[in-house]
Amino acid sequence: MAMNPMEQFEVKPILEHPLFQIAGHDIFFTNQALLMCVAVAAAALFLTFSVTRGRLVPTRLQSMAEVSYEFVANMIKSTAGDDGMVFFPFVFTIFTFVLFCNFFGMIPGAFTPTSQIIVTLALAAVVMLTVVVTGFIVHGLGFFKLFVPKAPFLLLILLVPIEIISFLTRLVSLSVRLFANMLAGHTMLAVFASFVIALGAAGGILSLLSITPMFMIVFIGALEMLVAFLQAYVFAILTCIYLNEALHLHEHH
Amino acid sequence: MPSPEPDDLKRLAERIDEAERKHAQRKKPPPPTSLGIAFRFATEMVSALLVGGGLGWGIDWAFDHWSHLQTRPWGMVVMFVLGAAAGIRNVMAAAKELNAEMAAKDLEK
Amino acid sequence: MQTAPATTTGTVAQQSNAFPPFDTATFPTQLFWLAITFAVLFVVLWRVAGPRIGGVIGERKAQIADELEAAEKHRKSAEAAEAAHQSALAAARARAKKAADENRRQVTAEIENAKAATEAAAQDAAAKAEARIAAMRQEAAQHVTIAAQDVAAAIVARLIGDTISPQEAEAAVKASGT
Repeated sequence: MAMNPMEQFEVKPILEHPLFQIAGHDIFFTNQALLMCVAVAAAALFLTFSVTRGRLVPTRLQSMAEVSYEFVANMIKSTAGDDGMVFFPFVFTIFTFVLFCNFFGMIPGAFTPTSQIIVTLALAAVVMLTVVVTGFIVHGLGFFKLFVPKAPFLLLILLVPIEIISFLTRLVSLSVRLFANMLAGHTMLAVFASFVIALGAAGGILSLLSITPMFMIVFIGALEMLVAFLQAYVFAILTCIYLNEALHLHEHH
Repeated sequence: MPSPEPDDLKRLAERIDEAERKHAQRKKPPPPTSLGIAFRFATEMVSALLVGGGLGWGIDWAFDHWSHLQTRPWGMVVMFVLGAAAGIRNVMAAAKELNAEMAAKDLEK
Repeated sequence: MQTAPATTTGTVAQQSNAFPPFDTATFPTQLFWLAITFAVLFVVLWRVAGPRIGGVIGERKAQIADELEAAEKHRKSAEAAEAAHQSALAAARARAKKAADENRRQVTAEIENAKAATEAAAQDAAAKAEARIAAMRQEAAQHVTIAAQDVAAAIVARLIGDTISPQEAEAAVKASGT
């Protein structure tokens, strides 16, 4: 096992040669691509085939699928109101994608797709793009009112740039939050894992001491499971909150 | 004369009501952990500074590139300060949101 | 990673000295696979899984709501039956009370009648007895008068040696005022 805790975040090609080129960039089939494919396939199959019509009492798997469905539906309804349900497939996809990528990354040795800033940034960009497009479709140019708080005109010269920056900040905060959480958790796990290996290799009494970081791994691992879910939830609910603003501007639903 | 017990009927009514209540009840999202809250605030602040600084750098670059004006480093300085202000505003908004969430949770109890 | 064709997979990992998540060379590949997988998941959830789960949940909700409604209806009908039963019971009780009252009144009336009849009979008998006593007394009185006349006649005969007619004796007795 690698002693470098950052090695697990390296995107490595599984197939040596690039599949093809897009705009001059080589596209490889990488460890990350494999993980994303597996996570998405698992999510799609699970959410499709665990659910069967006509069961009054659902099986455990089915009720898990139903709970996640209702969880997202309630999340949207409580933050963006009933008209936010237009975005149900989108929010459900975001939530499921992040959740499954996070959880599959918890498998020892597996790559964590959401530990890459470009992935989380792209996801956040899709969210913000959806927000902006929705805002302009629903309100036209009135969407710019989102950046104009109620204040005296002179103050607005200061406040409008702040509002714009704070709007753009969402792109960064949304992506950095998920990225940093996954990165930090997995780095900690790797660090403690390398402790275990180093102490074990040292032999003698030090081998016995390797129990301590092993406990830490179990503890952090459990914490990471919670974080994996929580970050998917936070990403999804912030998406809902931003969509709500695009739909209703500053009015409260 | 053995009559149907009114108590039985009352109990049945209670059970039906309970079943209806349970049926209407919905799952609640998990409560945020304190570490999560701290992390969220930190992210808001850092992101705002990053965006502010980045925009400022972009403005300076644009003036440098497309005009003869030398704004560097003032664009970045001003935007960084505005970014800090935006960060504080975001943290305050997040805190308000959290408070509302907590209050809602307390009300439920 | 654009340099990858020139190297083996192992050396790619060793070559990248940058902090891996910020290694821009991997970004095109990452974005490509993200777009593909995200789009696939979106389409599946939007077109297949979402409607499927939503349909099943809706169906179950409708079923449960129906059954709760049916249970509520049964409860209502049970309550109605209970109420009907109670009112029937009350009616029967009222009827029974009325019948009992009626009965009591009749019996009382009969008793009153019987009492009245008996009293009347008793009074009648008493009156008859009285009449008989009166007659007997009169008769006795008459006998006494006759005896007195006889005595009077006998006394007269002894005193004056003369006989008197019974009429005279009677007048004398009457005159003496008996």
